[in-house]
Parts: sequence; structure tokens; C-alpha cells
Amino acid sequence: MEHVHTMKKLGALLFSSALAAAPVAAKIKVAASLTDLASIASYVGGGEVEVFSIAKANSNPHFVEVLPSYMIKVSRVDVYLKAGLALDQWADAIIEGSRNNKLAVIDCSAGVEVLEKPSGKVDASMGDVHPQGNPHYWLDPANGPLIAEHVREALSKADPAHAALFAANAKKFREESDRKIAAWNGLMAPLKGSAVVTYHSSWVYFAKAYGLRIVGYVEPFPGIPPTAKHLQELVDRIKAGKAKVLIQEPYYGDSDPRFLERQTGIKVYRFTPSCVGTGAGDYFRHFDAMTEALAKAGG
Amino acid sequence: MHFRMPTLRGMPRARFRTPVRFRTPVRTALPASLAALLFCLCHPAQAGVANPDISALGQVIGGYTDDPGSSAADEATLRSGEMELVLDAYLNPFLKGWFTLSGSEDGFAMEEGYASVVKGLPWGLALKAGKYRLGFGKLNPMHPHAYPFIDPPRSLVSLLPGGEEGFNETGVQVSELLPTPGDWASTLSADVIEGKEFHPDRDFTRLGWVGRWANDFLIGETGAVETGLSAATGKSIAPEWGSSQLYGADVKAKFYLPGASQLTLQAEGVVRDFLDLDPEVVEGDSVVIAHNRAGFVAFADYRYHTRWNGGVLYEQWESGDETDMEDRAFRVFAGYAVLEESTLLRVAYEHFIPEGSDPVNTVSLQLLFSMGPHKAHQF
Repeated sequence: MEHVHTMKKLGALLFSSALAAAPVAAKIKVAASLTDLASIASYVGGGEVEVFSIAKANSNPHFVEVLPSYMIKVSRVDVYLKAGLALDQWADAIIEGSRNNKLAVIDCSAGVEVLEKPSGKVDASMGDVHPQGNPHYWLDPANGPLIAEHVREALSKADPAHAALFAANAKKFREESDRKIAAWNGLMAPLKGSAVVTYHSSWVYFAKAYGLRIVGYVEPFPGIPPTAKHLQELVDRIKAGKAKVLIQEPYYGDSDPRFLERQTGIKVYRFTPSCVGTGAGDYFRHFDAMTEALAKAGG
Repeated sequence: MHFRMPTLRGMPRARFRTPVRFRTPVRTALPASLAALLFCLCHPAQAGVANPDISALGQVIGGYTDDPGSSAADEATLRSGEMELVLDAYLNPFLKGWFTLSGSEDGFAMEEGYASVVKGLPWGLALKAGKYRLGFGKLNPMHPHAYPFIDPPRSLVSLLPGGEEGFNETGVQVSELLPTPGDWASTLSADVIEGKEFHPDRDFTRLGWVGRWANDFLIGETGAVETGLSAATGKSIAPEWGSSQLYGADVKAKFYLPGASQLTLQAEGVVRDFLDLDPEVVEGDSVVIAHNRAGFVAFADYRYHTRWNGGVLYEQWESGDETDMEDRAFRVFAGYAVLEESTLLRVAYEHFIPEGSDPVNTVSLQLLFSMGPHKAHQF
């Protein structure tokens, strides 16, 4: 009996030694065009991923310069998360320049209910209109779980051994989203139906999520800076619509929003269109900050 | 977006030693090719076959110079510059093709036409073949429209083969993205080229070579820097009389500032070590002489809120093959994107000091307009 017991101990020792000697599985390396996609990848991937974002929170996601240093970084990753809808066309040049034949490129916009999808001919007379529709879909928190699902699928293909972990984390993300969305909806309830102005058409998903009415844009057409005439018309529209909030990205000049503020009393909020970090909770924290700031305006 | 800035052709200028060459056979053959190409593009594509991206650029240039050697001295001038048409598309999942046609009152010329393997090759390799602006230095491979100033630097026009048209040849390039740690990107490229630009007026065929080693780094999240070393060799007189060489070094640093502003600092130096026949020796007793010339250009460009830019440029170069004359030029330039990058207004003032001659002052104004898809901005 004692012999059997000794054998069991020896077996356990051998097993644990074998485990200790086994090579540590490498983490999945993930690059993302936007910090939001990177943050969601960090959440779903947990400790099994290393994530970075090309665009920073305060970068204009339409125009990111293609640096060779981005290419070398992407040459070493397993998964690339693209925003899609022709927002991050610069990512194609980075991906091509990376010469990474094993790279899985995931379009995170797949399956999104796209807003402002043009129905007719699209040309530059309409400004910088995206032919596939408005690409700023991550600003509706309801699209977060959809992005998480794309991430789960990509990570599971890259590392099937941890598929269960990724599925559990994606489920946890969905549940946390549901709780957070309920809280944000509560905060934003006083603003529901109220008129807002935004600088660029980045905020249509955000406005839809909280029932905000966009009554005008500082840009007369997407990507086209305002004229004096347009600003004057916007002053009239803000006054008529009783808009209290103007949302502006920090990479646009603030002289025109300040002019509107002086003329109408509208309050200017400078929000980055993406979350500041790439950590697991940063995507949620971005909405926490924006909804809290706006709730004060509506209160 | 692809743009093309004007070449110096037709602009008032003084003491350019590099001869202007027109590729007449190409120009005469190209209208037919262009018509065929446009027909193909307009023809309904087969199911599943997408049309290429097409972009076009036009320009109007005004100028004033006090250069006594110019036919337009002390007169305001106005002219249309070179027009450019760019087509690019995937040929299949692994290859991409580009065509750049430049047009002027003289007709159309194929500036570039090449295919590149963008994926599928092992060990970080890439392959390019066709006619293209060679990767000698940082400025030459760029289309001049992408420079922040109107005209290409005189030093590069004088020192690089190809002159105003740029060092542009038919070739095959292999490049390797070397395995490096962190965000250090190190790219080594080698081109075998037709070599014609080394001996444009001589009747023989001999290949040339171009090589470049570029190293790129990020400066935290606020900047990026690239350093490069380039070399090229080819036969400039006759195959049996040795080779001519070019050497170059360049550095570019860009700092990303708050409010979508940027500061670019860039410099490039070239040493041209060319062989030629001594013109003073009668034929039959030819003597080979070496012309060694060098020069550099440096500039700073500040871009404010994406729509405005302004900067200064200084260059100095040895311009005379037979003497040690050294020319200098100083420029101040500014640009304004009227709405966004599809419509640009530019202005430049140049003070050009040719050694042994009076200084020349030139003011240039340029309106650039372009259409087509917005392409990624390369560093």
C-alpha cells in the first residue's frame, strides 16, 4: 500500500515537472487600427494577448500617416483588427508593408447596422462621404459586443487551446455592456430628444444610442471646413433648435466652435472619438466619461 | 491622393547644367496606349473584377523672375503645369500594379508603370518590377507634388541622373524588412536598373545598380525619424571605361504636435562621382576624366492644423563639371489647403545665388487640384 502511495507521489512529481518543463505558450499578438478595438481585444483576450493600437485616441482616424515602424510592429502580430467601412484605408498600406503572410485581418464592422449609407451616386460634391456608410459605429456601445464577437472568433482561430477562455470573456463583456448601457441610458435620459451639434459626423451612432437630435454640423459637408455663411446659418439653427451641446474632436481647430459658443451660449465638449487607453476596461471608461460630462449639461 | 507638382520645365531658371531630355518615342506611342487603357477602364468589367482606383491632378502656375537669362525676365507668367493620371489596383491577391501618366502640352508620357508583390514572399521580402522613381534618397522616390514646396530642389536636379524628371528607370527591386527589435524598422533594398540615366546621350546598353538602407524609429508617440544611406552605380561613357557612382545620405524627422500640427525637419546630401570623356581631347585619343560634385538640401516645414504649412529651405551644391563653382539657393514657402487636400494654393520665394553671377529672385504661385480616392499618407 505504501508502495502504491509512493508511486502516486512520484507520478504527481513527474507530471508537475513535465508541466513546468513544457514551453510557455506564446501570447497572441494583436494590432488594431483604433484604441477601442484594441481595448475590446484586451478584454476578450485577457492574459493570453498582447495588444496595441496604431491610431491614438486623439488622432483623426481618417488620416493616419503610414510609418515603417508600424509596418515592422504589424509584421510580428497574428491578428489585425480593422475598423472597416473605408475609415482606416491607411491600414491596408501598413498591412501590405508588414509583409506578414500569416496575418489574419478582421473587419470589425461586419454585421454592424450601418447608418448614413448612401443610396445613390457618391462623389466629392457631397464632401468626404464614405460610400459604405458612416464608419464611426464603435461610438454606439450596443456595437461593442458585436466587435467582441469578431475578436473572440479571430482569437479562437489563432489559439484554439484558449477558445473557451475567449468565449467566457466575450460573454462577460456582453454582460458588462448590458449593465453599463443601462446605467448610461439612465444618465443620458434627461437629454433624450434634445438637440445637439457636432463638428464632424462622427457622432451619429452616439446620438442614436441616446436619442439625441443632431440639428447641425460645424462642417457644412463631411471633411469640409466651415464658411462664415454656414456658421451664421448654424447660429440660427442652434437658436431655433435650442441646442445646448456641441461635441468636437480635439484634432479640429476650436475657433469655430468657440464662435458658436459666444453667439449662442452652446456648450462645447471636446471628446476624443476613441478611448484613451488599450486596456480591458478603457472602452467602457470612455463612455463613462462622456455620459457623465453630458449628463451634467442635461441636469 | 496622388499629386504631381510641376517640373522646372518652362519655369524661368538660370544655370541649370543638367540637360532636359524628352522621351520622344514614349511620348508618341503613349496617346494610343492611353486611349486603349481608358477604353479598357470604361468597358464594363467582368463580374467579380473591380476597376482600378483612378486619381488625377492638374495645376496652374504663375511666376515672376528677375533672371536676365530667362525669356520672361521681369514679366509675370502664367501657364498650366504638368497633369498627372494615376491608376492602381490589385492584379491578383499577391500583386498590385501602378501606372502614372504625366501630360503636358508636349503630350503624354508614362512616368511610372510597375507591379509589386505585396504579399506571399517569405522572410520579409518584397519585389517590384517596371519603371519607377528609384529609391535613391528620401525625396527622389516621392512624386514631387508631395513635397511641401513647389519646385524640386535645384541641388538634386543638378546632381541626380534624370535631372528634372527625377532618377526614374526601368528596374527590378528586391527589398527586405530586416528582423529588428521594438519599433525599429530597417529596410534594405537593391535594384538592378536599365542604367540609361547614367549614359543618356550614348549608344550602348549596360545595367546599373541602386541600393538603399533605411532605418526608421518612433520617438515615443510624438514623432518619427528615418535615416537612409543610398548608393548607385552605372556606366556613363563606355562599358570598358569604368563606372560612375552616386552616394547619398538622408535624414527626416517629424514631430506630431497638438491640434493636428506637425514639424518636419529633413536633409539630404549627394556625392556624384561621374566619369566622362575630356572634351578638349580630339577623338581617337580620348581621355577619361572624373567629375566629382557634391551638394545638399535641408528644409523645415511646419504644418498647422492640416490646412496650412510654411517653411524654409537651403541648398548648396557644386554645379560646374569643369570648375569648382558652388551655387546656393534659399527658399521660403507656404501652402494652404483651400477646403481639404484636394485643392492646394502654394507660394514660394527663391533667392538663387549662382557662383560668379548675379543672384536671381523668383516668386512662384501654384494652384493644385486633384480628384480621386484619398490615399494613405506615407512618411
